Amino acid sequence: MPDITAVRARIKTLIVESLHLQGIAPADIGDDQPLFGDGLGLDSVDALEMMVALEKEYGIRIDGHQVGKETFTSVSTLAAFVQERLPAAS
Amino acid sequence: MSAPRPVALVTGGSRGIGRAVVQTLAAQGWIVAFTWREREEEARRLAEEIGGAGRPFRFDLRDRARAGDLVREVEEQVGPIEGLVNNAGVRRDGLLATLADDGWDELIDANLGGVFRCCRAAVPRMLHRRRGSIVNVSSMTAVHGLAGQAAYGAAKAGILGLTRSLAREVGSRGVRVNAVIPGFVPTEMVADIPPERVKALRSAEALPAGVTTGGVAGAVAFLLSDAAASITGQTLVVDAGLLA
Repeated sequence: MPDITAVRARIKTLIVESLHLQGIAPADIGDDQPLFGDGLGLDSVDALEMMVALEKEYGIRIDGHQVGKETFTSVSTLAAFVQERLPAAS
Repeated sequence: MSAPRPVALVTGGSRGIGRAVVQTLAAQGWIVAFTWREREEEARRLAEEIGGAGRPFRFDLRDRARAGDLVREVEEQVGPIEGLVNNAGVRRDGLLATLADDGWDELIDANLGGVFRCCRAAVPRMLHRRRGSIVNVSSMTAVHGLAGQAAYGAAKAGILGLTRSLAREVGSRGVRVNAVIPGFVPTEMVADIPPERVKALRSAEALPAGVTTGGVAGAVAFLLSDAAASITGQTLVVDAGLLA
């Protein structure tokens, strides 16, 4: 299982690439920076897009209606959500 | 090298309007995943008829857990869904005053909830790819009341509201959502309507030939295609002029 730091770094890259963010590098995104509103400025449709990107990246299943908005609070909360769903290391 | 053929998912594709939609889309170059509920043999024959372009899947609108799995299976086994046609429906008539709660719930859940669940499953993937088109098949009874169809008509009218709001939700990512209202089409689904009532229903049609399954399918295929790239949140009435 990748460590939480690696998951956070990968999620930052996915945010920039999947959502086609202009003028922002993955390293510019803080672990605890709010993703919505005044933070990174994402919206709920971006969250749906990210959901699919995370499914593809990590081979996990995420159903939109089972994911609370708090999951998408920040890169840290998103990374914790992903890591909970990754299979344990063999 | 030619571009890969786009994939459409059509619910309720083994007979009636859905069958014509499957045939039309296949003829226009789509690979069509389509669902059946009861008639596996008919679905299999339709898949054979349209050659390598058809892939049947079992699906019951009333199974709440199934829509998510269906979309995943189609994407894994056929390819990314670019077009979704929510055509499957369940019709059962009864005067409102005699309708039990269970009967109401079942009709609303199957006809409106089923569309909701299929959209919910497919939309995130379309958003992610920034490409997709959805066509929801409503009914004349959504806009022109028919005695005995309060529940069915409410569900089908609900589909029009869902269509408009969803179009607003996903338009910014290049995903379009439209609806089609078929007029009176002589299919198995309406075979139990008495001939005199059919005659009365059809008396207002402007076109003597009436509405065919192929005519409705053509409208669905148009809205699904890039020819309708500027159209979203709309309802196209295919009724041979009945409401004109």
